Parts: sequence; structure tokens; C-alpha cells
Amino acid sequence: MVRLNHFIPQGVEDTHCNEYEIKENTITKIKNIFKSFGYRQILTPTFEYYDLFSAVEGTIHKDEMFKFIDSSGKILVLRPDVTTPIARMVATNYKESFGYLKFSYATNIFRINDEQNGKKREFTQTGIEYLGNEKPDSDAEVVALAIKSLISLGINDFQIDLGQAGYFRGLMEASGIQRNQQEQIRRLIEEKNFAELKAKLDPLNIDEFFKNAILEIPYLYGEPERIIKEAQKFICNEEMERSLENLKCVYHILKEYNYEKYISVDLGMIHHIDYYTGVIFKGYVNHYGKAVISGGRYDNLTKQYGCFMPATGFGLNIDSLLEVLNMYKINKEFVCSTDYLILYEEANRKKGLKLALQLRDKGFIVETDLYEQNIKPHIQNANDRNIKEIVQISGERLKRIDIRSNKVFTNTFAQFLKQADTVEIFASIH
Amino acid sequence: MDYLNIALGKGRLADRTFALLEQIGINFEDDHTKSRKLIFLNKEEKIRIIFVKASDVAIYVEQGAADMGVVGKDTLLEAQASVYEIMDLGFGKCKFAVAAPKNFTIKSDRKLKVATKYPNVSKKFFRKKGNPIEIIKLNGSVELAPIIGLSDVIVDIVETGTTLKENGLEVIEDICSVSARLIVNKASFKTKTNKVHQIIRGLKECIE
Repeated sequence: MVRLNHFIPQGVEDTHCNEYEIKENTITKIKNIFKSFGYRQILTPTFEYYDLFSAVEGTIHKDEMFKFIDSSGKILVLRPDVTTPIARMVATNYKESFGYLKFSYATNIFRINDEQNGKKREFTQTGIEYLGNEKPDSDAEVVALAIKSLISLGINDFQIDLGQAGYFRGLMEASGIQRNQQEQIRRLIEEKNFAELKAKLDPLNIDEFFKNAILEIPYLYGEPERIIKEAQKFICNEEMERSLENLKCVYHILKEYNYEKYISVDLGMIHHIDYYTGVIFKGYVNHYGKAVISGGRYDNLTKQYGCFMPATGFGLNIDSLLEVLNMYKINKEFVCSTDYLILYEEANRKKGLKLALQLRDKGFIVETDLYEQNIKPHIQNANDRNIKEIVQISGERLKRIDIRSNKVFTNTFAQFLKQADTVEIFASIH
Repeated sequence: MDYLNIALGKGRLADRTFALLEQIGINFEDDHTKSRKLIFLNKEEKIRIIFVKASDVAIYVEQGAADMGVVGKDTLLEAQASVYEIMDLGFGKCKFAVAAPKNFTIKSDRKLKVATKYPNVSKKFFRKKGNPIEIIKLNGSVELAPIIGLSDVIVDIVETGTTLKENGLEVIEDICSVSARLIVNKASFKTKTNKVHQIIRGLKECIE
């Protein structure tokens, strides 16, 4: 048998210190934006009952969930998405709430990818859910937050694609096409598979008007005002009219946020049509092959838990975003460092520890160690760990070795601390 | 960074695609039929052709390593990639079919053994029909399987039927027709709109 003790499974990985620091800074920036808009951070359990996800119409395929069985025989799943648990939480704990609920999260998600295609099985997602508000203003706010998050990270070369689930649903309803056919048509539109869509529609016994409209939907993408205008001509019931009016309104509000340059419309974007109920959107960064943001309105989800609450939100894939930041070289190469390594002999250990404490209080990163006759291994260690300066205590004086310049100088404690006060201003970011 | 990457699988589909691109004025310095290069550049138009294994075209495009690709519907169905399937290019026509030795009859008292290079396509087809099957995944010479007794039937692409006939097999059921498709990465379709559309428009005019 091959022992796997050195290996980690496909789709997961270690995060090393430099990378972790960058990841955490990225998440913190985004979390602060969410917070500044009044979104309050929550956390749902890492695993929940399978029933929670299997009983409702969601966005995750059942085969994509990591399942295991607890001692009582119940099937559990590792958190495959965050929106469903939040809907569950809202329906059980906030039923009587009269106010809006605005939640944010930053957590790991687990999905099974059987294909060996480089997709991660564990990834970090951050996002928001805005419940209780039906107004287009809340849709626009959620999109605006997605845009602001990307901008805050220094990404400007991106595009947010807006769609409206109701437009297609209304058209399907009016056309009288059967449910199982609808799904195939939906898939072909979603794939922009013009050729097969036509072949699929030709034999259907429906009005030519609907055939034309359905064939046109995959072309309804691009500049928002033009597309919204073009889409008018296929309106044939109230749902379509309401949906388009709503989309127009959300776009108008986003213009008032001054974000119109990031917005395009795609009415052929109709994924998870049973789940999304209104405006849906995806965020693409130039030169990056996958959507980094995905969201939309899902008014029916909480209803499935017995408590109706309109809701919208989005999720942002942090791991993808880090790839983007790397690609655009936006993130400065970050290398973890230490400001001082204090070396003491047994006799002056107490002095050394006290000095370290004083420096840490000033905001420096300080390590301490027992001096071992020879400075060489300490210098090697300092080089390896990216320690900027070694401070060696010898009696009442300090011998300081600047590792980068290799300069050595001697100070009294008082001199050193005074100097440290002035460098404090330039001290590394922490 | 601003290059548009087109992934092609070496072979007939690539030859036809090069010819089409030439028709719309996109030429490449090196002759791909003579060169062993895997990358071909058109520096003016900033278009880069990359040669990959035909069955890998879909994954290159799905992951965004290539912006566009030309791939047979057969490999596309098997790969189940999430891409825009923009255009049926009309060439490379053939069909997916189930074939068996002459006079073969399906027995209902046991699972049907299916040898194929396309397990996903086979599973999907027989599941839809409601027949339980056992897949034997092969990588080539699939026609041998029923003759040697490795499987009952095969699922494969059939062009003229000659290979089948020469090996004593015949088509017992058609699954679907297959032809070359132009696929586009979903993000590139949105973010590299101008260039992507220029090519789509060009190819469309060529074909119609």
C-alpha cells in the first residue's frame, strides 16, 4: 500500500506565511467595505445536515457536496455554499424581525470536483446577503458593493454583467413550452449555442413570435441602454415587462453611484433559473478566464424554510481574486519579516526579555533567543527568517548587527530605545 | 497579454480552421502542416494559435488558458465544459452511434457491456433510455472490443461506416450528429468583446 502521509488530496493546499498575509489583507479590505455599508459579519457551521441542501432549490448540485455520516446515521455535508445556511438561519432565528437583515461572511467552501481540472475543492469566499428589502435600491447596492470591493483592491479592468431572471421566465411562461423542453432551451441560450437552439425550436408547435424572441435572447448582451431598448419588443406579459423595468431601474441607480462604466447587460445569462428571481450578475476581470463574482436576487429561498423574505446578495471568490492580483502584479511581493532578534546570555535573560517587551509595545516584531558562543548560526537564522537586525546584549551595552548592510554598532539601552522611537514611524506594516 | 489565444487540436479540424482564418485575412508566418511548432503567431492582429490535444481543447477554453477553440462536438459532449458554443462550423461531420456485431440482440437479463472512448456520452445516452450498462473505457481500436468479447457493443463516432463494416460491426442506433464547433471562454466573450466578435463575424460570413 502506498502511504499517503506526505501528500495532500487533490484540490486542497497549504497556505504559506507570505501568501497568508496577502490573503488576510485582501479579505480585511473587503470586509471593511462590507462593514462600512452596515453589513454585519456572521459565521455558519462548517458542516450541516444534507437535508438542508437537498430539500431546497439551490445552486449546488448534490453530487458536488462532500458528504459524511455521523454516529446516528445522519448525513452531513461540508459547507457547499453560504447563502443556503444563512437563509436557514434567518428563517429560524429572525422570523419576527421587522428590520432589514444585512449579513457578511468570509469563509471556506467545499465542493467535489471529480474532474482533474485544477479546480479547488476548498476555497475561500466572501460575500454579503441583504434580506428584507425588495426595492431595486437594494439590488443596486449589492452590485455597487461588488464593484467597490474590486476597486478597493486596485482592480479597475473589470466588467459586471447584469441579467434578469424574470425576463426569460416570463417569456417561457407566455410561450407555453413544456417544462422539460424549457430546461433544454435554457441550457442552449446559456451556452449561446445559436445553431442548436434554432434546430431545437424549429419543430416546436409555438407561435413564430416566441421562436424569434427565444432566438434573439442570446444576442441580447452589451451596452445596457441599447439592450434594454431592444428587449422591449419581445415583452408579451406582465412578468417580462416588470423584469425589464426593474433591470432598467437598477441600472439607473448604478449610474447614480457613478459605476455605469463597469456595467453591461446580458439577458441570456439565465443560470439557476429556479433559484434566482430578479436581477442576477457576474463579475469578470479582463484577461482572467473565470467569473470572480456571482450574485443575484433569490426571493424564494427563505420561503422554502417557511418564512418569506426577499433577498439578494453576492459571493466573491477570494482565491480567484488573488490569482488576478498576482496576474496584474497589483500585490507587492510580500515577505514576512522580523524587526529585531534580541540575543541574551543566561545572566541577562531578564534584561533581554524586558527589552523585547518594550519594543513590542512600540509595535515592533521582536524575537528573542539564548546566545550560543558563536554569532554565525544566529546570523544565518536571521538571514533565513528575514530578521532585519540582531541586538546582542553584552552587559550594559547593546551590540547591534544590521543584517542587510552587515554594519555593526554599539549603543546603550537608553540610546537604542530613543532611536527605536524615531524609526517606529517607518516600521514595517503591522 | 493582449493576444487572443485560439486552441486547436492537431488534425483535420485544425487544417480547416487555418483555411477559414486565412479566408478572413488572418495569416500565420509558419506553415502549420510543415512545422512542428505548437504555437503560431499573427503579430499584427495579435492572434496566437496553440496546438493542444483535441480532447483538451475544451478544458483550455473553459479555464481561460485559451479564449477560443475549435473542437468536435464529440469531445465537447464528453468534456462537459462550461463554455459558449457559439457556432456550428459545419465541417468535420459525423455521428455518435451504438454499434454491435451483425445479428446482435440485446439481452434484458443482464447489464449491457459498452466499450467506448466516450464514457460520459455513453452513460448519458443509456441512462436516458433506461438501460443499465457497464462501461469499459478504451483509448483506441474500440471496434475490436465486441469481436474479442470484451464488450457487447461500442459507442463511437462513425463517419462513413467503413471501419465498422470491415470489422463486422453495424450501427444499431444513432445517438446524435457531430460537427466542429467554435467555442469561446465565457469571460473572454465579455472582456475581449471586439476581437472575439471580429472573428465570429468573419467566420460566420465565410460559412454562410
